[in-house]
Amino acid sequence: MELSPDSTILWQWGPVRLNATIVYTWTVMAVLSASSWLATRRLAEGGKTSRRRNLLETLVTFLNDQIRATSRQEPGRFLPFIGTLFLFIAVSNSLEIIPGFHPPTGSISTTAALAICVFVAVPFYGVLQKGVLGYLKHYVKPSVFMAPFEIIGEFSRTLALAVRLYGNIMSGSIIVGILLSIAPLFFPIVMQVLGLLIGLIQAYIFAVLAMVYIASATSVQKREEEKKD
Amino acid sequence: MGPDWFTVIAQVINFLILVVLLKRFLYGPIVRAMDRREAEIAARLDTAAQKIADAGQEKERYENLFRELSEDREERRAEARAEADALRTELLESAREEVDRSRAQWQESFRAERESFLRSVRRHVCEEACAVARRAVTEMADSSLEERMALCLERRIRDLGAMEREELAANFRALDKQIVVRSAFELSMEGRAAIARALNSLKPAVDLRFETEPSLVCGVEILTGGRSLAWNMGEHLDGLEERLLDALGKSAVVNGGNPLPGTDDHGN
Repeated sequence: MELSPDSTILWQWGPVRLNATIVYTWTVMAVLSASSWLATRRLAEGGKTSRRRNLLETLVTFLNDQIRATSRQEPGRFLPFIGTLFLFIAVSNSLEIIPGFHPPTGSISTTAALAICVFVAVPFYGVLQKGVLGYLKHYVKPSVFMAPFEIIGEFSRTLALAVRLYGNIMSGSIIVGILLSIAPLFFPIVMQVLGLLIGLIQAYIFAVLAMVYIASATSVQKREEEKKD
Repeated sequence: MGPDWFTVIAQVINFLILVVLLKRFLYGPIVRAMDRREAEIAARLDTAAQKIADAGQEKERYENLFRELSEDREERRAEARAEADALRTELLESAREEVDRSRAQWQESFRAERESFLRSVRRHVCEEACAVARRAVTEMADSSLEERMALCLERRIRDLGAMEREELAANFRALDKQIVVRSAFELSMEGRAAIARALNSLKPAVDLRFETEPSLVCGVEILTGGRSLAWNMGEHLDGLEERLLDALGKSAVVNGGNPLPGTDDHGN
């Protein structure tokens, strides 16, 4: 039994290995991009709103509301990153119910990549908000001795992000695989439903945590501005 | 169990590509559409608010118009009432004037009829009085009376003023015809002689011819062409009628009436 789709090599050319994780990721990307393009290609100028458009508007509104509630900031510039994190993880986890499909989030390489993206996005938004020095200042607050712990905290939470998602999805897949071999009728379906729920919850947790980390890096600047006012 | 770092890098790239793709195909269009729709809703709300404001203004304008119309109606009603009152007053005044005029006409007509009646009564009384006097004198008259009259005529000629006498004499002298002496009755010889004496004093050897004329009532008349010299009762009775009319006219004036038409202050 394969624990990760990384081990399934479909094509290799030197160090370049095309494994199942990448292919499944491309599939998810294709599904998301195609459905988005189909839904938005006929957005009439102020015309009648379709059901698909209403669904996407509801989704975007939900994401905006969550970002606004978490960060207490305008969601415009965070929406592409946080929204894509949520949609990618949620769609990947949801496609698990398709037989033969292994969610790319069940690979530590994918979750690590997503965690690295968050790890980079936090200082990116922080620096964008208040500059390099302004961002680095928060490592030495309230004392310079806290800087190592802050840095360790940055790495540890990134690792936690990656491992949490990977562990949940990988464990769900493995449980369903084991149950299929033990009790092939009915029971795996229930577990798959549970797996869908867990997958959506994990997508939500990942996105919200990412937003919290980014917000913690950008809200410092906001508090300082409030003090100046 | 560890991550495949090539796969990690590939997934990072894949994720970034997915971010770009979704931003291009999902978030951008949807957010733009939502913003556009919000703008449209805001514009519609603004339009609705503007229309509500316009409607409010229109309502206020129509209320003002209605109020003005009501005030104008009251004003017009008051004007119409005033005009009606004025017309009624005018009509009443006109009717009153018409009544006064009719009454004045009626009074004038009544007064004229009364005066006409009184005038005819007076005239009739005068005529009757004169007729009675004429009848009485006619009954009393005779030749001896006319003789007295001839004597009176002689005395009158004799008593004429120098100028009148001269004028009469000149008139007689210029006349080459016979002088006619008329009387109601046949004059006696003494009467004829008296008249002849009187006329001879004016024109010697005057040619006289004596005639009788009953219309003279009682008296003598001398005709010399265009002029006459007379003393008779008819003339006196004619003067009596005129004097009676004059006296009755003055009496009407004294009693509040108008003087009789056809008579003046002198009774002519």
